[in-house]
Amino acid sequence: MTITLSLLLQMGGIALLMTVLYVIIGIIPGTDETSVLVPMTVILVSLKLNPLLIMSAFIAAVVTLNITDSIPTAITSIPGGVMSTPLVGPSQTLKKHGYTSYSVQWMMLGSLIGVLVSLPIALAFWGLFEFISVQTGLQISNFIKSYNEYIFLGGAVLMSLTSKKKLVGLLTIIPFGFATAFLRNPNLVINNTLLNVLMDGHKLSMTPFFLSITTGPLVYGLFELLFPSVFQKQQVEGKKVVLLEQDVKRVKTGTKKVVKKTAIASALGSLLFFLSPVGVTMMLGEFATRDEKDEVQEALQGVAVVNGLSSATYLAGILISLFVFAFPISPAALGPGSIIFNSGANGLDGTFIKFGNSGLTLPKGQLLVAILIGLVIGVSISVWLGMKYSRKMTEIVFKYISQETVLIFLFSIIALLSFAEAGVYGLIIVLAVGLFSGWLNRKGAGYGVQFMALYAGNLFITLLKMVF
Amino acid sequence: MKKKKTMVSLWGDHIVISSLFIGLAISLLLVAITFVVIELLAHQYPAIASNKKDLIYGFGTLAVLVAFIINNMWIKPQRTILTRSDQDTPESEDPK
Repeated sequence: MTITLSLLLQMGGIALLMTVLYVIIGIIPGTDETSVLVPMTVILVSLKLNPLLIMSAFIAAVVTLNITDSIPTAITSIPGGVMSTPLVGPSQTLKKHGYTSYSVQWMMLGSLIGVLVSLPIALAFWGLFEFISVQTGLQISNFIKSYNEYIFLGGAVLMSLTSKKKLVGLLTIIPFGFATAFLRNPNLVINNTLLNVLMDGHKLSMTPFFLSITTGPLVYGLFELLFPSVFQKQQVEGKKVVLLEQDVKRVKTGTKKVVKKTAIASALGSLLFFLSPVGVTMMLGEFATRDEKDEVQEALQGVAVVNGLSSATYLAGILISLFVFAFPISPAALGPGSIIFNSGANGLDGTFIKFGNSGLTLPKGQLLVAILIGLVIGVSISVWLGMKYSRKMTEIVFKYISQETVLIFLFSIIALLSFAEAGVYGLIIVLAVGLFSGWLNRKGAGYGVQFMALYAGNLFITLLKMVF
Repeated sequence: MKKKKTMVSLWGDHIVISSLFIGLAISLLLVAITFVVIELLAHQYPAIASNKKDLIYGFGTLAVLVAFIINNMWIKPQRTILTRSDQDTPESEDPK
């Protein structure tokens, strides 16, 4: 495939479209990154668009969502998504001192620094691996890939150990991995007539499972409302009061320090790409600001560092997984990038990854062009809009887009994809695994542990067969 | 007297349960109609039958988008937006 001017324009166009869409989604409070990124990527892949267009769209969506997620947090103290939760504390401090709009500007700059730092680090990492491979003849990535199921298992253990609920995470790995591997192909374990009728000859890909895990907390949240005690606890009266602030107050000193700390934290975050982005963001964010005595300076550094870190860990995790390993080695690639890293099934290649994680389906140079287009358009437009119109955008979205319609949109897309993939069985799987996954999430086993267990699933079936 | 809507706090916002389910029914109905129409047309025209899955994804997504627009016209956001200066102490409404 050659990159023509027409293809470049199409990449720019789709990146622009996704940027506009995810600016709106990012501002809506509470939207989880993985839940809103995966269904849209599935749609683009299912429509069989040119993979380069899908890549530009995906990267534009990822960076835009990371940037705009922080806007409602700064203005209303409602987290825009999971990654913006660490921003609530510092943004409330800045709000208290009258620096709301200024904090939005620093969040945008933080994200920009994060992207600018992580891109060269990811490319340098790729170059280093290529250099070692050429000089020594050692195929490090191939060696790592041949043990990928064990690596996913190790990753699940590591993620459990770095999470707050270590035991829950560890206890989740085997049952969840086994259950999902069994549901994907029950015939591997038993030959049940009812299951055969339900599956109607369909072979399940990973898609319904990605959707189940990503929407699990939401499905479980709705399911819980069936219990009167939970319903009463969650019941509210009257509209939600959203306070929008108006100010232009700025600090006069210390801005260089904010830039320096954000750049250093982003670089460290990029190197820790294989760990949970939320965990890294919280850990390094706290570490970067601990020596600061002034409350405003600490909070300002906090919002910039956290945004820089979240953009850097996400981007580095996806780029390094794609270019160096051609399989998802970071939580960002396993969660939001799960569709991009789908390595196909039944001997057929995925959109970007060859069957069995044996490489990329497209030349790396072409993918890099698509990534850069998505990145430049996503970052420049969302940072510009955020710096200039953050308050107005938040007001419009809060005023005209209801939370119900966003949830309905999400559920409908999931129903469409799971039914088209595997009929009634697909719907049952999404609901059942979604409930199980949501419950596990509530108990403390995060997305990262669940995705790693899902990927390691076949290992448990193989081990079970060896035993019996 | 106007009947009070039952609202719950979900995903950081207030939602009306009845609106969520009615809206979901509208959206799923449109998706189901898309499935049935494509399935029926696939029986008549071989060209449609050979591209059935792609058509379902394409027109299914379109149906969901149409439902999003329809639902957004009748489901109003349950938010009261207040603008005030930074000097006041922020408040928010907690679940009951």
